[in-house]
Amino acid sequence: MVCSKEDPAAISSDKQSFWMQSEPAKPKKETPSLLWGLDPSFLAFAKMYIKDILEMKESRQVQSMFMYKGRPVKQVDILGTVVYKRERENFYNYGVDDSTAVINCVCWKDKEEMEKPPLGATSHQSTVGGLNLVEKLKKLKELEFQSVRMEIGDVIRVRGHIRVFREQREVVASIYYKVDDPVCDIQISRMLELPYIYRNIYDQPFQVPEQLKPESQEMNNLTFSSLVRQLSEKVKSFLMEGRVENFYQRELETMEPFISMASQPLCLDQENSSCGSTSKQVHHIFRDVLGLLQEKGVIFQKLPNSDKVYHVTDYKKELHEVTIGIIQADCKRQRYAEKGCHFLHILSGVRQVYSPHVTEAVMQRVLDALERNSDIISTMDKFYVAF
Amino acid sequence: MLPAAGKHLFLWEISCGLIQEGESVRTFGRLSCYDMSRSEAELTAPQGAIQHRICISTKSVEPFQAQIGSMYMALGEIERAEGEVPVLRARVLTCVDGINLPLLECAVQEQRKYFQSRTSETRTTSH
Repeated sequence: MVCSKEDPAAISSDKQSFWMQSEPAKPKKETPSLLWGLDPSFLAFAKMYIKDILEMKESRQVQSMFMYKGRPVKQVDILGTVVYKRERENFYNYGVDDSTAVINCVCWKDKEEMEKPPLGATSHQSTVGGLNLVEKLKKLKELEFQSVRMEIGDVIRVRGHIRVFREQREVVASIYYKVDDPVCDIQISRMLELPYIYRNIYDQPFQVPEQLKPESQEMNNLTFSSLVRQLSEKVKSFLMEGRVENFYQRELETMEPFISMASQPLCLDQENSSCGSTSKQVHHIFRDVLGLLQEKGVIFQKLPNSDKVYHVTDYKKELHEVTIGIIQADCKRQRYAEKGCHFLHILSGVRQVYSPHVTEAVMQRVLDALERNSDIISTMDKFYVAF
Repeated sequence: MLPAAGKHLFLWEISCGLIQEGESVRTFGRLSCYDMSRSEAELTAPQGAIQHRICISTKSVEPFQAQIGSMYMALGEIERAEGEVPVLRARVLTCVDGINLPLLECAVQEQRKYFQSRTSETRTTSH
């Protein structure tokens, strides 16, 4: 947990609640970091008052992220007067004053700039040849060079990310330049713009879009569909481990680990509002679980009726034998000898001989199992031979 | 070390002597005179019929190319609040001839209004 270093009151109140309860209770809930991307202030260069950049709290979830009224801010865009300047080997330190506060900005030097001799040492002599491109380029470079060299009193615009360095916040510039603002137009328009942005965006509480809310709740509250998914996985592993060949729905419904899982209280949604009692709920859940497993081809029925027996695809020997038989027989015929039989050809054969209710998913599962077992070989995609 | 932030103040707010010594401010006014030997300049601004004025100590910003009659922005600390005319020791003194003063005034008021609404909001929520 990371607390803002700038706000001792926040730390103490945080600690108190931390010790009073087993779970760290937060004075105000932060938006989960997973949803930060939905907030336009996240990763945008937020135009903010420097005072707010210095005062907002650091996120508890991610270091170097800051929360302004619950909105995640990482990068900022500031405009102000240079009131402090220090040149280092690789960068400049500029103190920027926007009349609300002063913040230090780290402005990295250009590689070329570092190699360049200091201003003034460059020659201005050969301006005679107006078409000398090398000279022109030099001049352009010089202008560029001047635009990054500030003096105290210059107006600077900085875009960059906030960093905490030696317990002080600073802005590490991704871009910065001297603003040519002789009549203060740019500064005035920024001053008029900021209250507007604050009132309309930053100060408005960030709302997680409605359609995303149920999904985030799913972690805590069980919904009908999530329970069906969980239970189908359980049933599947039970069938696989026990090498079960056949079963009835009523058998599963009376098995202890499943029934207690299926009768858990659910949060109401549209899907299960129809089922009233727990036994009805259990029955509905199992019907959907078996439906889901059938869709995946894990189980199948020769006769589609929930009272009738279910077969487990992997362990139904009869179906496997029928399939191999069809492929073997057809591969002896001239037409299929070379290429093998197509998937749909095998499927229609199985449906005629074995059961019309065998689905494509079941068929694929059988063929995959036979291939793994080297009973059949696939010659190309969806074509199989057997010897 | 970083200096304190120079908050926007109108010249007449400084000249009436309500600002404490040592406070950092930025203000705008017309340069009416400059005495190089004493490193002192004077900024004036009219408010209604009254001409307000403050003294600017230019020691920290010299050499200073004075253009008498031009608009200037001064940023610095109040050196002396008492006496007839307050003295502001400028760290920055820039010519801003052509500035849209009414718009600047409006922008300063907007910013103040916004921060006031914020403090009154926190006051009401904390009660």
